[in-house]
Amino acid sequence: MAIPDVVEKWAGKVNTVVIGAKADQGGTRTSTVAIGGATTLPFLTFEGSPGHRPAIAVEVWDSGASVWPEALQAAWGDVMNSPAAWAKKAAQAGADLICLRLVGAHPDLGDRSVEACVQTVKDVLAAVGLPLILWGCGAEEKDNKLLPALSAATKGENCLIAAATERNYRTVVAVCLADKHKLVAESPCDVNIAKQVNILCGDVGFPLEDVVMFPTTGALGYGMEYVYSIQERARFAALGGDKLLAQPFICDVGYEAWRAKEAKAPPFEGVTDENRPRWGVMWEAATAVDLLQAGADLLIMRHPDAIRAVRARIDALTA
Amino acid sequence: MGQVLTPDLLAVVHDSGTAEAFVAAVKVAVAEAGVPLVLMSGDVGALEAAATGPAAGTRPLLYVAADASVDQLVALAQKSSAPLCIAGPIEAVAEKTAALADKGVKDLVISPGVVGAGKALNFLTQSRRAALAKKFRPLGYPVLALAGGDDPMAAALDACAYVCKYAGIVVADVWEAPLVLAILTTRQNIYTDPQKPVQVEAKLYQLGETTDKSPLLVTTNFSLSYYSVEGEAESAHVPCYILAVNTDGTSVLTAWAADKFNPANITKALKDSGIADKLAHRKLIIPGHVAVISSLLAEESGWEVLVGPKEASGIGPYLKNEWKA
Repeated sequence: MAIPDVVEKWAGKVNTVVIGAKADQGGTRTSTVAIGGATTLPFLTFEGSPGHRPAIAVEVWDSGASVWPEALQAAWGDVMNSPAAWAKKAAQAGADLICLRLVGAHPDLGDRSVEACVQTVKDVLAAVGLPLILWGCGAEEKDNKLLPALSAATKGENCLIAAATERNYRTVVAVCLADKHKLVAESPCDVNIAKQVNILCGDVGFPLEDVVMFPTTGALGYGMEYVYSIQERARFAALGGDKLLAQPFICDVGYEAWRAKEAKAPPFEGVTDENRPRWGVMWEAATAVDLLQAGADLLIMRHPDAIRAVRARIDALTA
Repeated sequence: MGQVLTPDLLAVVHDSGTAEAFVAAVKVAVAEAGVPLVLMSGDVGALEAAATGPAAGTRPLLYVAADASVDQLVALAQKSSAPLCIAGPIEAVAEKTAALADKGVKDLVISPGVVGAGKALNFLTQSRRAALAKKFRPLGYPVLALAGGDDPMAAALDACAYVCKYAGIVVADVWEAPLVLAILTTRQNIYTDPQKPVQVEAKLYQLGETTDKSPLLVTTNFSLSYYSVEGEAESAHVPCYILAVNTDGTSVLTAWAADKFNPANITKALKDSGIADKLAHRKLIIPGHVAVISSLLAEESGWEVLVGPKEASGIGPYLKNEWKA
């Protein structure tokens, strides 16, 4: 029986953003990653192009990762003390990119100097050929010193640098523009502010095609539905032709999922020593898989098993 | 909040080849499970035997995993008085449900059958759009999605994706607690309207072995606000009271902006809670983000107002280092 044609004709598409640069592009990366490009809702191959396969960045901290839950410590081991060695192991675990978070630069979390942080970034660049996401420490004043130095030190590498916010965007926008990096635009779980941050970055001259949106992430059971709705609304707007919301999404899955009680597996009913690590792995993977249905283009993740599981689901959804 | 999450149905799959073994398994399931059943078989006779035998009167969903004729299906529906699930490629399913509807059989569920996640997702979206946007009745039935395979975690993750995208029933071969809970939590999240926030009961909560010198934290009855505070206070191991003020389930800043987390409401909540009888001191701690209400609140309530940290993550250090009764 013929069924009705339910294909929607979308006017817009999600921007394609390429991260990383090989030697012939002025960088030293051995691979680059393209995200976005969808002309339809996630994985709807009957309707249009789902765009580039969602990419997975593995999260690496410059220092202080001893606070990570036990299951993650067990998975990564000693390399967590050396960002370069950690990045190398992450590459072996199938990372598309490395997300290097300079947590230790935070005044309350070690206050590492800008110079020391730059050295860490150089070490990671030397250790792996993957493209980099560089994430500041979150303390505005420090980031306004740190991000320009990181940007200059990685000029030509076409990194993705985080983050521009509604209150604090001028410095990071200026350096990303000067050094030709891509930019993460962060907003606090609000589609209007997401759009506003994009507008602000555009107003000071940053190309909107080089922006990746970060509408914040919520873990499964901890506000995931808010982020899901916001991403869905923004994606509908993008496909409807709104160029101010046509940026691909980055989702901070690992950080949020491993904060959940379920991931840390306290003595809930059903938690055994044997399945304890599975709780966090599943919580991280499920948060990722749910957000993929709301258009996630770039996932930052932590546990190798969760990464493998999500990668296999992406393969199944795009098969 | 305070919800008990549990699977709703049990599926019995005819894997043995013999109808007798299937019927025997259904008999056990009817006796033991206490939840409605999905009976899945490629043998229409076995389905009929189970549905008219041990499962008679329980209205199981009969998943027909075979290319049965319309007459066979009509007979099965009439003899069993049970709903049928028609599985297959979307055009074939539509053809069959249309023919069944012509014969008066409309108690139906549809399914893409055993297919990969990508195909299942396309089926789910196409059938739902056809039904709602095009008013195409042959696909206007709830969809059952199957999440199987050798790897339970993969099955559980597919189940999560199907919950996100309109599945009415997900049959997943998943038994491990963390996997099951992730699917059920996905359902809870997806079927929560973010504009109607999940609330906790607006009342006084006691954490640990409190004394009359214990701190009193004030927050809203938005579940995420409350549980953020509770989680941090709990992991700090400092016994305390938490007063969840009724803000219609909105968060601290939203409630403050809407004039719901205001001195009058907080004072009323203090009085209604009877907390004054439990404490020797008269100090309360408010979230750092609403420091601006502290002097008015002090005036209105007569309590000393301490401004706590802006983020819940600061509560532990605050209670340990700064709090004094």
